[in-house]
Amino acid sequence: MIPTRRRVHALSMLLALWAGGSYPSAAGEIRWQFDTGG
Amino acid sequence: MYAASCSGSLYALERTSGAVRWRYDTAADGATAQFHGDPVVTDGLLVIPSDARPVGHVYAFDLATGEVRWKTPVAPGGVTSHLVRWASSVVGLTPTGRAVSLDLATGAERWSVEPAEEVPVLGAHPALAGERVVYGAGDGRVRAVEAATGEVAWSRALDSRPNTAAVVDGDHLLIGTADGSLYRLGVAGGEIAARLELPATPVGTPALRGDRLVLVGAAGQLMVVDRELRRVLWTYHAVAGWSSFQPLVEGDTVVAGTDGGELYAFDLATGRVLWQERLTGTLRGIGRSGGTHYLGTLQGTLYAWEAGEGDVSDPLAWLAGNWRGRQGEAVIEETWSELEGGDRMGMFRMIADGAVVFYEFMTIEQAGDAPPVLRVKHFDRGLVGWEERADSVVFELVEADARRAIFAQRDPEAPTRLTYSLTEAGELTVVLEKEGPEGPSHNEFRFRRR
Repeated sequence: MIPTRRRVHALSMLLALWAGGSYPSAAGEIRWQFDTGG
Repeated sequence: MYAASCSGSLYALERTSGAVRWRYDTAADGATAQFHGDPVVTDGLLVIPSDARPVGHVYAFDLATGEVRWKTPVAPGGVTSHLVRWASSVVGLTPTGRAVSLDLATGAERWSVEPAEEVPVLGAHPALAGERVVYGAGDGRVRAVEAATGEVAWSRALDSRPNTAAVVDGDHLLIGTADGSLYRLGVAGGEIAARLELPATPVGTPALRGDRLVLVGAAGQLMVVDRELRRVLWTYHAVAGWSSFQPLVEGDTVVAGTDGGELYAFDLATGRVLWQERLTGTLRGIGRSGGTHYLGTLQGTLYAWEAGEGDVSDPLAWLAGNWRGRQGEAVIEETWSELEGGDRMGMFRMIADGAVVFYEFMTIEQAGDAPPVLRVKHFDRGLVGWEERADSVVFELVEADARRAIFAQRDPEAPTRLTYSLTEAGELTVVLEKEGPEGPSHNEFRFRRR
C-alpha cells in the first residue's frame, strides 16, 4: 500500500538523518552493466 | 540504446540486456575520438558528433545496422557540443566556438560562423529557437544565427564568457557565464531581460522544466532557479562535486550524480532528497527509459539500474511512454505522460479494420497521502463521450512496486481489478479482471514500448 510505504519511508529518512545525516537508499538494483573501456 | 565513450567507441546496446547490437570504433578514422555532445536521432539515422585532434568527425549511422551513411571531418578538433536539428540540417560547435551546419542527408557543410577569437570552451552547446540557432562561445559572445543561411542575426558580448549550453524558453534564451551569472536574453534582438548572480559558476546543460531551471555548478552546487531569473529557489551541495553535467529532470524529480558515484534524486519543487544510491565510478551521462536509469561513468562502466522499494518519488515512473500492441486483429495504443504537478495523464485507442473503435482519456491523480486515483473516460470516434460530464470509471491504487501497479474498482456489484505490469522483457501488460453476473472475465492487453 502506497500510503503505508510512504510513512515507512518518511520514518526511515528521519532515523537516517538522526543517525548520521545520510539519506534513505533507493534500494536499487543493477540489472546489467557494460564496460566501454573508458 | 546508444552509448558513446571517451575511448573512441560507439555502441548500440539492447535496452533490456546490454547485449551489443553493433559497434563503431573511431580509431578507423585516425586518432581515437571522444564523444561529448548529444546526438540527433532522426529518420533511421543516428547523427553524432565526436572530437579528436587535429580533426574530429560528425558521423551519421544507420540506427539499425550501424553502417556509416556519411562522416564529415570538422576542423579544428571536431564537434564537442550537442547537435541540434533544423529542417534537413544539423548544427554543432567546434571546441573553439566555430558553428557548423551540415546537411542531414549527405553530411556536406552548408555554412559556418567563425568566432571573433578562438578560445576553447568545453560545455558550450547550441539550441534551436524557431528558425535560429543560439549559442555562446569562448570569445565571450552569444550569437543568434539564421539556421537556414548562417547569417548572424545578432551577437552580444557579455561581461564574462558563456559557460553553459543555451536553453530556449519561448522567445528568450537562458545561458550561464564563467563569472557565476545567469542571463535571460531575447531571441529576437539579444537584449538582456534579466540577470541573476548564482552561488556557483554554472556548467553543463541546464534543464528547463515547467517554471524551473536546474543547473549544475562548480564547487559541488546543484541549483534550481525560476525561469524568469528572479531568485535561486534551492541549492544542494555535494561534497564530492557533481559530475553529471546534464541533470535528468523527469516529472517532478531531478536526478544527478557525483564524482564519488553517488546518485541523488530530488523533489524539483522543494529540493528534498527523495533517495540516494552509491555506485562505483564518476557518474556522467544519465538517461532513463521506463523504470530503468542508464548511467555512464567516466571510467567506462555503463549501468542499467532500477530504483527499488526506497524510491517512493514516483512508483509508476515505468509506465510513462508510448506503448503499442495487438489485441486479436485490432491495434491498441496507450500513452502515459510523466508525473508532473502530482498528476499523470494517459490516452488509449483501439483500431480495427482501419478505423478507431474507441478512445480513452485517463488521469492518475494524487491528493495528499490518499492513494492515487485512476479515472477513465471513453469516447467513440467523433469524440462522443460514453460517460456523463462529471462521471468517469474510477479505480483506486491498492498496490504498487517498481514493476507493477494494481488498481481496484470498489463496486460491490461488479468488483474490477486493473493490473499494469512491466515484464522482464520490457513489455507492458494490462489485465482487466471483472466479477459479473455471468461469472469472472479476464482480458489481457500486451504492449511494446515504441
